[in-house]
Amino acid sequence: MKILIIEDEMELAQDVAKYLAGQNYVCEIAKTFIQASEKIGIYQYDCILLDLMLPDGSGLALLELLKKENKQDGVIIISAKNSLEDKVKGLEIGADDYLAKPFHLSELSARILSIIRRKQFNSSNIIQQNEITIDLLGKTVKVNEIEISLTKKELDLLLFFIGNKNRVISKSALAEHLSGDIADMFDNHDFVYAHVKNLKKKLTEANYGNYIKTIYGTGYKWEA
Amino acid sequence: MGSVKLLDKTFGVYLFSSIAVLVVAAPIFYFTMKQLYMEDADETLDLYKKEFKYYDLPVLKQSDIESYNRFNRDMRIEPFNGYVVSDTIYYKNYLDTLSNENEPYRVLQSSIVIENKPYLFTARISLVENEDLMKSIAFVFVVLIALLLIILLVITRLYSKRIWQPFQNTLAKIKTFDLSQGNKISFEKVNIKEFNELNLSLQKLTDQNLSVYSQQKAFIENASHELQTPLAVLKIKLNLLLQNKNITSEQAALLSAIDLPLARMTRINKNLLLLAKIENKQFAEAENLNLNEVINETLELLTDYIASKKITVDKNLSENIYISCNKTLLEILINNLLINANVHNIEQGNIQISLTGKTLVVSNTGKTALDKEKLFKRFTVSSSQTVNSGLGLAIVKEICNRYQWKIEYNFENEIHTFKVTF
Repeated sequence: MKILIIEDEMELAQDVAKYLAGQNYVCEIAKTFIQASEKIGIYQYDCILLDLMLPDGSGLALLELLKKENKQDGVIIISAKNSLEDKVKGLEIGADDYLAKPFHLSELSARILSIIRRKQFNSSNIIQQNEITIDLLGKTVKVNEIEISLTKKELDLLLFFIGNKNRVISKSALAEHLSGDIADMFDNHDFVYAHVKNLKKKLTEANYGNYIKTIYGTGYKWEA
Repeated sequence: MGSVKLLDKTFGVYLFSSIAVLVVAAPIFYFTMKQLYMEDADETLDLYKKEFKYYDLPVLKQSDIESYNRFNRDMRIEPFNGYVVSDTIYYKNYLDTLSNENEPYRVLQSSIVIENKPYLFTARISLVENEDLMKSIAFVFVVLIALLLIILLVITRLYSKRIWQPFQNTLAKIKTFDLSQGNKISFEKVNIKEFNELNLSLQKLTDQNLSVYSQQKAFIENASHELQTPLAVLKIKLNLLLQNKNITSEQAALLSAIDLPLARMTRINKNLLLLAKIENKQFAEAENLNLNEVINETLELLTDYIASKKITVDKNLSENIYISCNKTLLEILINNLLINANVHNIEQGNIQISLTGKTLVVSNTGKTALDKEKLFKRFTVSSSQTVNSGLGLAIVKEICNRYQWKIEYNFENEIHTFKVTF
């Protein structure tokens, strides 16, 4: 799956590319408005990560260009501005999601997966992962055809792990994912531990393989 | 220190100086008048004497003296033994036989010779009229002073008030001036030079302040913006490092030790940006919000966090209390208050949330009081907690300022209480 990273900060773009490459995405980087508009014109991408502030133009203009040419590429706006107006405007023009810098790579990865899923499977809502089947619409999870009941947060966590296969996910990334922006106001993220423990317990009881590994001191990893 | 109104003060000075002038001038005036009158009396007496000597004396005989004295009350001729070289003039009281009172007189004595025999000519003039005159003069004097004071009073009250009106206008404008609001003030041109100068200086001063203030604001905002990307890069680098399979547990510990201060920096930066945005009047759109609902929603997001700290929450919320404001700001306000109640709490503590009418009270158990003076200032809340940004309550205050909500803090019986009146 192809991803275009439009970002003038090369350091950041390359790191994002490196992380996503590990998730079997093919990443291309455009540093400027001109480069980006050329690439958008020629190729088709599954997902575009768009920085709004480019040295030679506005990311919002690129977004308008995409919509004018009726491109189906999913777009996630990545902005240092974190302003509500930009967010609202971007989503109105047709971006699929908005992520404020600085963000966790795992959060980005999970959001990319969710967008690609929506675009590619034409809103089919079934995810298959090892012995697990997740129906996003019905919010049900089956392991080996046996339904298990997960809380909303546990389901959220499960999807987050699947979106970041074989990657170490830090506790703070999980906390932010579960509690939203306010998580980074907390003075500890211990509550993540309880949710992960419950999820692991429910999956193990349903004879699911032990894919969630605890990485000492740093976070968790879904090994598949 | 008590202060007096300028007009009262000037009137006081007028009154005081008028009375002082009166006190000093009245005796001087009195004595001058008296002197003048006396000179007048003396001249009259002298005239009497001269007339007497010129018209009467040459024809007067000793035998006439008795009849002369009989018909003249104020001019008399008496036998005299000695000889007076010059005329004498003096005061003397005579008994007025009609009113049986002593009345003051001015008396002139002159020695005369009638048919070679020395006599003493005495002429006198009553000073009663003089006193009456004095009284009338004093009365007119007092009336004049009173009139003067009344006119002064009217001038200070009415005219001065009008003259000082531009000053009052300027004062009213300065009073409503708020640096953080960023509204320029402009003064109308007035036809008094001093007030124009005052207005121009004030205009210059406030404009300068506004520009410095907005520069400072812009600096904080730009600095925070500029920091976002390096922070993002750092965060991502750290994340990539975590993915390294050959990482030792020692290295992993170091990495998570870096993660904490990095998270704090991110938080501080984010909050500074948020403060700048609130100050810049972003989050303008307002809606009618059910306080009860917003509190419950915010609490829901915090449940995990609160539970992990073994803190219990009791709430007592009235239903259907609506206020009109920006939803994001209200959420941030409640969220920051609740997080604050967690951070400054004790092991297995308690948080009470109550909403009655338009008053929200968040109280929690705690050990030491927060510094009331510094509480809502940036980066000043002292706490052993190093992870908080030191901006949470500053943001709460800023939001309250924005909507003119009242916020109070109290610490009593080891309970922190924050009270917001919407």
